[in-house]
Amino acid sequence: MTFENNLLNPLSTNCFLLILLFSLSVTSCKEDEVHTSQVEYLKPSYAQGYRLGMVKDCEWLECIHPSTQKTLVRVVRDSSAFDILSNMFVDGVAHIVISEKKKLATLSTTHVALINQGAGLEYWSGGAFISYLQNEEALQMIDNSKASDLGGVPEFDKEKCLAINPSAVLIYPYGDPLNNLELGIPVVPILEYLESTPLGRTEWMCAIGWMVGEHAKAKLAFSLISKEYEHLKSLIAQTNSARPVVFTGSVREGKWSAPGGGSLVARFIEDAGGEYLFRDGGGLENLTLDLESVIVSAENADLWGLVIFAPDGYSIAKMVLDDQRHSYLIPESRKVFYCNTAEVDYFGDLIVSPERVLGDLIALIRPDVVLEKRLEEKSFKWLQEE
Amino acid sequence: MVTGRMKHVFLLIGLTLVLSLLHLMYGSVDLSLLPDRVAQVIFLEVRLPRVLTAVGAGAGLALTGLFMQTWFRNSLAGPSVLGITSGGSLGVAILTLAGGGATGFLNLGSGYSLMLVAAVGSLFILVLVFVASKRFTSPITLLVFGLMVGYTVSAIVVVLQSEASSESLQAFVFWGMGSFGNASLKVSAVLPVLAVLAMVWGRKRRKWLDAWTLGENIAITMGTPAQKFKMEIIIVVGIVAGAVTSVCGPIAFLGLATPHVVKMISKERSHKQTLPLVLLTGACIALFADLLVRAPWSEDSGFPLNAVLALFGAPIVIAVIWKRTHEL
Repeated sequence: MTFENNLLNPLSTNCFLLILLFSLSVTSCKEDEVHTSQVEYLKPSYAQGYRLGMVKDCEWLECIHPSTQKTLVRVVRDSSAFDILSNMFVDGVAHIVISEKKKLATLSTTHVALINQGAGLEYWSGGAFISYLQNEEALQMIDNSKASDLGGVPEFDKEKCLAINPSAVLIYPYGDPLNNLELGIPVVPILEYLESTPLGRTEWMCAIGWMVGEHAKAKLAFSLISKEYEHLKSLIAQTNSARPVVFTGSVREGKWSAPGGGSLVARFIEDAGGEYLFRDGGGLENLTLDLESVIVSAENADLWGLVIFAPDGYSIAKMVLDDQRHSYLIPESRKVFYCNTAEVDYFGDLIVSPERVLGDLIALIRPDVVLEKRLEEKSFKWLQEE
Repeated sequence: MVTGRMKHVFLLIGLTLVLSLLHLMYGSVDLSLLPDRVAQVIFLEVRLPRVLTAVGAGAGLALTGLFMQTWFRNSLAGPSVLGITSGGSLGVAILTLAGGGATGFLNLGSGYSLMLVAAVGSLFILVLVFVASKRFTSPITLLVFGLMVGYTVSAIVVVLQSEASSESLQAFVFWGMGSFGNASLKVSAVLPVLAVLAMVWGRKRRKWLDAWTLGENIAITMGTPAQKFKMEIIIVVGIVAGAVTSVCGPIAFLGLATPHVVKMISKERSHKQTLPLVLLTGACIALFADLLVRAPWSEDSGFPLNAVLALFGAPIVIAVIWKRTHEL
């Protein structure tokens, strides 16, 4: 029997085809394997603390420390994506599986505002530190038992958290309330507080929107906010008049405590057309300065800005009553603007409405800039004498 | 026939069981209304570890308090007064604040590594106090020395805090508030074991402990090997106080006040008799204090643990000082 004859034998032909098919399937399996080089990242426009990774049909959220650029966790929405990531990345970073279209629990009231603005409060199942929550709709949900009060003071209520069984608990990295117990509830660090720009902080609503399958909705809402913010910023860029020097802070335990030069407040002031007095000092963290040097440097300042908690209201008189030395720091113009966190949701609604804050600040700092809308006074306003 | 001491022991065992059952049965959610899987997780991963931690921490700290009061022959000695708890805090502070990178991101570090560093910190301070005790014969001077060590350690912790990242700083602050609800089942199970081991050591060395209450010289003439005794007591107190501190944060008054509560309820003074009473009373006080922290009967949250313990412990310490002053 010749070789050709053998090939023509039907049985041999079938065997040959089977081997060929098997080889092809093995080859195609290898092609299915994905490598890190194939990964595409969708970076947010402003936020530095997260990005979306994509390879083929697999998508995940990466939380990154903005300062160190270290990846902290990768969040996926199904277990098949978890398997792909586990094969692809061997860097020791935790991979967290959350259930899409399920509700989230929160540790911070800021997270509630981010959920509300990005995906809607229907995706919120409960949170800690409710006594600090100012969002009326969220408070009503607690009252109507549509969301749970998860404690916080003195302790996070693990039992209630397990009972409501959220898709994940959004936490600050330093405050894992579940202490990595084997409870089966994923925890996702939300690093918005480390963002150095107002819009970067707000953009975290898109990351949270992605977690619950509402990325497009969150992105649309954010684009409206960022557009308005950028528009207001552009109004400042169009003017040539001098930037008023603004300082912030107050006396605390004999020292001057103020937001650092890289802080959110500093960026707001700069974006609103002011020049932040402490722009060269510190980063995101608060500055503690010698009172004498502040008294000297504040001599040349035009405005003083304050963020305070004053449930009974505040005035220049009360400010001086708090500490007599404040009187030496009040600018000659006696222009002090302030935001009372007892009256407005500074750490909630205003985090997701930076355009409102910027509008108010421009109206106060740069009255020469003509705004289409009148001053809302929803965030900052002038401090009255009495 | 059941003796008076046995009555107390049975009563305290009963009380411990009742308080433990209350903890296990009642919480912020009704387990009967939940799916079995969730109820099981809450029971095994939240309530049971909390009970084990409270029992272990209460019993362990009470025993360390008794051992220290015997060692220094000073009724005001205790792990929190002589800086031993601060030493544990220092160990945790060094691990979390200075060595933040080694501890991982989402937690303070593994329970066992924290236990180790806290025990090393506690042992270090104990050795310092031990050296000082050779020089300072007055118990008051030694207490003041302990307080100064505590202040120094606190100052070092503040310096570490000023250099720490905001994440590790906040983690340390949360830990420092004190709670029996921090540990997982595995870690929490270690504390009762340590407390029992401390009691086993106490029973083994009961004659040395009894002799020591009469004074060091008399104890030596009665056959107590002073150096060995001191070394063993340092190791036992250091490990137990360090482990408790690592899991629960700095816990005040339990070690100092519990031996005095036992003296109030029982006239027994030998260590053979008092050891089980101190162990069980410590567990009961810790469980009761934690009930006030959790407040399962109330919609509102309870009180911080160290505030509850201070409200209970401070009057006892004042009473002890008052009694001593009147006896003088």
